[in-house]
Amino acid sequence: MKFLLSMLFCFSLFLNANEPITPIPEAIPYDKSKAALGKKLFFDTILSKDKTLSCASCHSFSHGGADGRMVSIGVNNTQGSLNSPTVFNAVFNFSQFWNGRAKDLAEQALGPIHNPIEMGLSLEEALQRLQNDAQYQKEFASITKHATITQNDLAQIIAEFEKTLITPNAKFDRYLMGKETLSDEEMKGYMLFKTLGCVMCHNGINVGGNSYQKLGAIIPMERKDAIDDRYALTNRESDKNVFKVPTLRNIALTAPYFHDGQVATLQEAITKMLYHNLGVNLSDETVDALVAFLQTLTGDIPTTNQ
Amino acid sequence: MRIYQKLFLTSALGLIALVSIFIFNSFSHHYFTKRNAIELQFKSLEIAEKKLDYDILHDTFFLYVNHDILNQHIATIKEMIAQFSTIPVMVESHQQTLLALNEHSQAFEKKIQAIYDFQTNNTVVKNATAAIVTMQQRLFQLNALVLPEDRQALNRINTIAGTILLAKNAQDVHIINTLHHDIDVLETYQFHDPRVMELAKTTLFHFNVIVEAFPKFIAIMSQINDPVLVQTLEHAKTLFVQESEAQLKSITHFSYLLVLLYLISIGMITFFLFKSEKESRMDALTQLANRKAYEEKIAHTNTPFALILINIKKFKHYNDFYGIHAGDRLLQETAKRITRIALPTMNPTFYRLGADDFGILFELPQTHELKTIADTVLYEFSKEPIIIDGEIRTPTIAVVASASTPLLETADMVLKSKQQTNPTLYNEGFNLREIIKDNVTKVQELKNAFAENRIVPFYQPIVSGDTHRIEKYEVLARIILPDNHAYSIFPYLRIAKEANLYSQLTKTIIEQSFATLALSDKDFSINLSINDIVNHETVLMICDTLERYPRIGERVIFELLESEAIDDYNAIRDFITKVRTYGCRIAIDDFGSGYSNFAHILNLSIDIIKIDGSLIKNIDTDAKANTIVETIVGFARNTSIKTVAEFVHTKAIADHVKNLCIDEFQGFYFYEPSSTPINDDN
Repeated sequence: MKFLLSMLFCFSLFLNANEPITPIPEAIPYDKSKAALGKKLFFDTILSKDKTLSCASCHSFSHGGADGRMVSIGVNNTQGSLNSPTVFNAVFNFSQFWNGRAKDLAEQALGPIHNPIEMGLSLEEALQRLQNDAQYQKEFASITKHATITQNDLAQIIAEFEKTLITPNAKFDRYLMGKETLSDEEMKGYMLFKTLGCVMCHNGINVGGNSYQKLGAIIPMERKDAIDDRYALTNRESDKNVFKVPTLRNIALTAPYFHDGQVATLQEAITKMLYHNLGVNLSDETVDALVAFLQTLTGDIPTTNQ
Repeated sequence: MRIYQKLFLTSALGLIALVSIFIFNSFSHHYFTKRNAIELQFKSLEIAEKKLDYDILHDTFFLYVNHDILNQHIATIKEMIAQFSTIPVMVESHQQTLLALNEHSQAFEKKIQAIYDFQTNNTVVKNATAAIVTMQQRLFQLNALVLPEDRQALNRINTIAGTILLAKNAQDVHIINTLHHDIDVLETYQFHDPRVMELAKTTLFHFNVIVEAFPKFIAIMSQINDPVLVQTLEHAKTLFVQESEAQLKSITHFSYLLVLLYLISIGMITFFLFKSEKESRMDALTQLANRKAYEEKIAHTNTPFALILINIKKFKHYNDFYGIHAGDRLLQETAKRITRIALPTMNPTFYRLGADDFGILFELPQTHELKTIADTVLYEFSKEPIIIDGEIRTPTIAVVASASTPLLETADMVLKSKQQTNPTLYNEGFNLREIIKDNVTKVQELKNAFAENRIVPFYQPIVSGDTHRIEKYEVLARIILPDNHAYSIFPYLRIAKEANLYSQLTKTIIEQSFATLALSDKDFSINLSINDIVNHETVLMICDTLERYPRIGERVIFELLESEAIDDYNAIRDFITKVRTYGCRIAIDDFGSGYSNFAHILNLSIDIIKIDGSLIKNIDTDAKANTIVETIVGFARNTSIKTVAEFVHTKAIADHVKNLCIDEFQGFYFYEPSSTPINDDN
């Protein structure tokens, strides 16, 4: 996987040398049978305690792979503290979760299932349910070549499906590949994006998702206690309010914004970012240009029927 | 050890060596390819880590950054490090190296954290720096709004901004530390113009960010460049080389083994070669050196050797009588006895030179005589009996000594000539070489003569004692030599027997003489020897010839030697019976020269007695001869046997034998042998 990404990366570099943002490929290789089973599991409420929720409940295809709510609602109507990050293009992130505590998709996949405030189903019971289902047992066995379904099997198969959820052909990607031109406004927005310094955190193939940065780097932002930032992992003062930079791809679709979903609109998000992380207040024209640019980052959304 | 066993042993060793070489080869090949591959991997890892450092540096300078790049490097390096422990050779033989690599991996994990911090921190520093530059720009635009009393403060802002840029370029944190005072002053300062104030405030914010972030940046950089990373990798490499050297030891030891195997093989081959050579020079039965060894010893040497050749007499008879096993025993005992003969100071070497021939080769000192030595040998050999199976079986040996080269040939010649003396010494007088040469020549002459029909019968008339008229002829074999003279066949007789030409001789004489004398009316006598009489084909040929000419048998007389008639009585008797049926008569030739057996003569019913020439030759002067002849004649007359006197070569003898009443005379006084029968009918 890492080899694949590095190859893609080198390839994309070739296309538009020196641009700090690189396009998503049309497709990436994946195991078809695993992904098919993973898709079934992704949409199956069997994986929640009360069978009301599936992965897709909080990573909805109609909301850019994220949740339209500020924070997601778990079983028994429990509320979380974090805004659901998008599952689209998550494969390109260098780690998973807001604080990067999972190293890849497989390591992340089981977390929400047994998290009491999310799907609330213990992994033993989850595996039991799947084992007891004849169809699931057969499908798992034919892929894994062993009869008992393990945690690793479940995680790998869900992850394989998530791998397929990429959104190529964004206007900006096509621009990078030389297939399209941007409007003046969009171009202005991109230039501002670079010169203002937005690109210093939001760069790479996923326009973000590849480093840990402080929210409120210049002008500090309020921090709620018991938030899942880097400090929760490392216990260093300097890591307070430090999160994995979220992707800006399809950002127009994934409101609300920021880790706690406190910002409702793109304009507000941009304004706050400019203030807290760059220490500037800029005109509405500037913000609008930036919004125009961000909208070019919306790609082809995967359909639920594939 | 039989040849097959030797071959098997050598082949087995060779096969082991071959297999060993193969194993050694594949082991070395395996070792070196694996080692090279691993060293390459170390190299690749080093390069990847350098690339990472390069791109980190790149990120500190370049404003636009793609964090994917550093993340790629990190992932690649982690994979490379992990790769080492999947290589079987590493797991098997390089535990120390793997441990060191683990340390390196841990150092790298620390670096990864530092890199993440770098990515976080660097963003802030660069952003703040860029912002400060922008602020400066803006402040400059608002220059008109700055009041004179604010100028100093403004200058202070400019100074700080410049110092920050300097510090950043110098990567020197100490320069930053000098800014605290100026920042403190500005914190509380109020610019008069609100827009300027706003800008100043923002600028100050950025200053504080830098002051806080930049030292952290320097600290993070030193963490990233912690030499421990390079050190742990170097350490791992060093250990790898050391552990590989240790493995090399086993290659070295193995190669020693191979060399040893090789030497053993060569040693074995050499040993077998030498043994083989030795065996080929030794007679297996007697353990003496053999003919080949002898030839080698005397070849190309200037030492004056002498040879004593010892032959076991009648060995074949011994073999036939006692059996081959006993014969072998005899040979072994003889050999032992011979080797015990002491010839001090003469460096004797002992050989088995033939089936029953032994040799002692020695240096003949000038102080000794060959004859004495030969005598010593004969004496020493026989002085104690040789006992085999409790019986005394000391063989009778013939001893021949020669000091003339070629030693063996000359000694052998003497041996073959069956000399009466024992020991016999070779001397030039033997002229044996000449004799042999002569024999060969004579055989060729004989063969040529046969081919050219130069073996012819001559006829010597025998006259009546009374009338001196020709009564009969004796057929004598003659050979016409290339000089066109006729010579007696006598010197060629032995040769003819040796060369299997004897019967051919008899045949041609009989055929020619019968053919000639068939036309005559006189009797004629043919000489036959026991060789003829016991030869079945010759007897058949004689009978055929007798039948070919009807009634010729009545005129034929066969002359037989007295000595042969006695020796082979039965054979003679049978022959006589046979030819009598044709009317042939029998004469005894050379009667009276040896042991005369009258009884035998009577039993064979001999018709004629030819009195030996030695008796007649000097009968006129030798009284004893005269008495003997008288006796013979008396005997013959009483038994109605005719008598013939040979060698009548003078008138005196002719007269004398007439007085003795011998019936017929033969001799040069009357007639010499001639090529055609002489006729005196007129």
